Amino acid sequence: MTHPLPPLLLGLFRELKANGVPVGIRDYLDGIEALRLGFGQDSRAALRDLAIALWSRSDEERRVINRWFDVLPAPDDALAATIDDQLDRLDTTASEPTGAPTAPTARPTAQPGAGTTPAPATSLSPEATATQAERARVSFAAAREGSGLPIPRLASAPAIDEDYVLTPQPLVSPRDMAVLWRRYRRSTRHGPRTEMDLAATLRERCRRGLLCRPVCRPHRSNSARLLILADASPSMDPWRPFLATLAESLPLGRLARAEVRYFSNQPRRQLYATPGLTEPETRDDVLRRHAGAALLVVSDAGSARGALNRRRALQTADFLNEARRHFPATVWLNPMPKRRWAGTTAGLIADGPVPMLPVDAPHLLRAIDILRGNK
Amino acid sequence: MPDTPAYADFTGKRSAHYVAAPHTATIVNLAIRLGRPLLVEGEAGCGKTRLASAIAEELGVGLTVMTVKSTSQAKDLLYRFDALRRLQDAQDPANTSARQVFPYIELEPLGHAIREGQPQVVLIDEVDKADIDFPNDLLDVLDRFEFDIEDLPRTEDDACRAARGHGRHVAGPEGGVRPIVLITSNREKQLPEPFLRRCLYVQLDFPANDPAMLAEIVRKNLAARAETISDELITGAVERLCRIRERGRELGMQKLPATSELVDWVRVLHWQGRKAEAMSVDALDAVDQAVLFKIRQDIERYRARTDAEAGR
Repeated sequence: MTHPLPPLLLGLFRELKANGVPVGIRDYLDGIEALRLGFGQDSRAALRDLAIALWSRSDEERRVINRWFDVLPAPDDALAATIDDQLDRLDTTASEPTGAPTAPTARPTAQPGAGTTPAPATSLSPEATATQAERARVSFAAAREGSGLPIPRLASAPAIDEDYVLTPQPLVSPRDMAVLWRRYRRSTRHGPRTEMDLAATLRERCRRGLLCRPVCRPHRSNSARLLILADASPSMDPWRPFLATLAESLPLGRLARAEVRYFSNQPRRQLYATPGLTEPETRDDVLRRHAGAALLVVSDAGSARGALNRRRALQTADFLNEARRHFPATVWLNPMPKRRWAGTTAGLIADGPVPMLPVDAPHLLRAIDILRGNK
Repeated sequence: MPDTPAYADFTGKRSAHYVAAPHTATIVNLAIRLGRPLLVEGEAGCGKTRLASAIAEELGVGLTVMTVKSTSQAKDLLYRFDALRRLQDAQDPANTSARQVFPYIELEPLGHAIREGQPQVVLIDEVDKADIDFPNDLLDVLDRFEFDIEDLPRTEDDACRAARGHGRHVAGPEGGVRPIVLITSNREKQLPEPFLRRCLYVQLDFPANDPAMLAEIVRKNLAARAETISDELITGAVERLCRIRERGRELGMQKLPATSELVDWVRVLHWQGRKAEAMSVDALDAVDQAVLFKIRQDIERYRARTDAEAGR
């Protein structure tokens, strides 16, 4: 049977798993196989390169691996020298290196020193700790209880050789969003007759005894239409990337017609073609143009600010009433956490006929479902 | 796992017109030994596509190239079913071949490569151009190197095997060798996570801090075209291109000149009979700009910057 991964890589593998990197059994076995074939044997840097090539697929994952190797204690030179000596002697005595698979695998095991799974923080050399103490890491904490917007805060633990690590995690990737749009389908035959209708062709052939020309029918295509009205006011700033994802993924969704229009705070007389609120068009024109489509509104509806503005609430309700005359299905996506809705316009809308959903994967799926007509 | 590897080691240096970084060569070898597809990403013009031909050339094996189009489907790489010709043939009552499906099925390059099981390099170029479902559909094929011809009825399995040598299920021969699969992507679309997990990943970077390697790349490329160019010109151009890139990065250019632009530029400089000393990063003429920059805004930004510096 194959040998298990040496403790150093096993520790890294566990670290990756703990960080949510979806490495699997196959990656584990490939690691063993690569070591057996002699990859990553020359130095620790080579081992790191091997780990990166095998197990990382994004910058974030690469960083995890680099961090792991950075905090490893430096190999004891004397020990490494004796091990090298021993290995050299082994190599000279054993003429066939492939015949002795213990030799290559033993090497990375021994290198980290005593073969223990390294404990990052405790095993640093004093001078390394001194240089790192000067550094600090700023990270964006997630929105906590009672806080509206994400706030930058200083992490208590100093970072390892990497300052100011800000890795924004998108709510949804454009790819996942495009896949979601594709679930919104209304398949109809429409347009020029380009596709051969086999059943009709055969019928014709049987009726006449001779086939003059194949019978054609229009292609099946998606006739689903969608209008997205997105709030581009400052209170929505944290979700600008999400709005950009929406706009970016929409053309991949294979909808018959889909458009994003922006507004500030609430849809007033004018809607805008860009998130910078330029290129206005009157609201009535937009609604009339998209009549019969599905409507998706993305806005925090005052819940980011956290107070009820009576005038805005009434105007928003008016707008939704008007929209219901044009659009058979309407969904409101509110990126603020649900517990913050109460006591704001959002709370009022959520109690009304238009479903209001938070933005996360299951609710996005639900939103598409409602747009398709499954109330 | 056969004891003697089917492929020799790839060093990245023996090709007549390509130089691969040692790091890249290691990952290529790793992919070959583990039998995994290799996903190649990197700046445009850094030799993603030509890596495949370099591997094929150095290892002395064949190369199959499939360029993905926006309308491509995974099936198109494997086989093609000519339904139209069958319909046409079916009009003729004397034509008996139209009663069966298999005469109208042709294996496409990847299908051939899988069936033959010969050592070779298969390049799937610009996988991100296709629809987002495309990589997912390829997953299983690249994992197991076998596939089913879904258009072929099961009843014709034996007939097809007798006539064509493969049945409905196409797989490599016993003891066959997996082809080396290279997939290039320009990151126009995000690739699905399971697909990324199946592949090994290599990023080709512009070797900006290795002028010797750049000069070597230029020399090899131009030697292949039988042009002799002085070393001063090449080193001078390399050094200036690195500075142009540095400046371009400061200006936030969208497309920085890369290896292919460098090679073109050296050729242009050679034709014009210009000397290395005569080239200045600050005074690129229209020809230089046309060769080096690909986007109008980039040219304008660069020009504005050099003008501002000259005026100071």
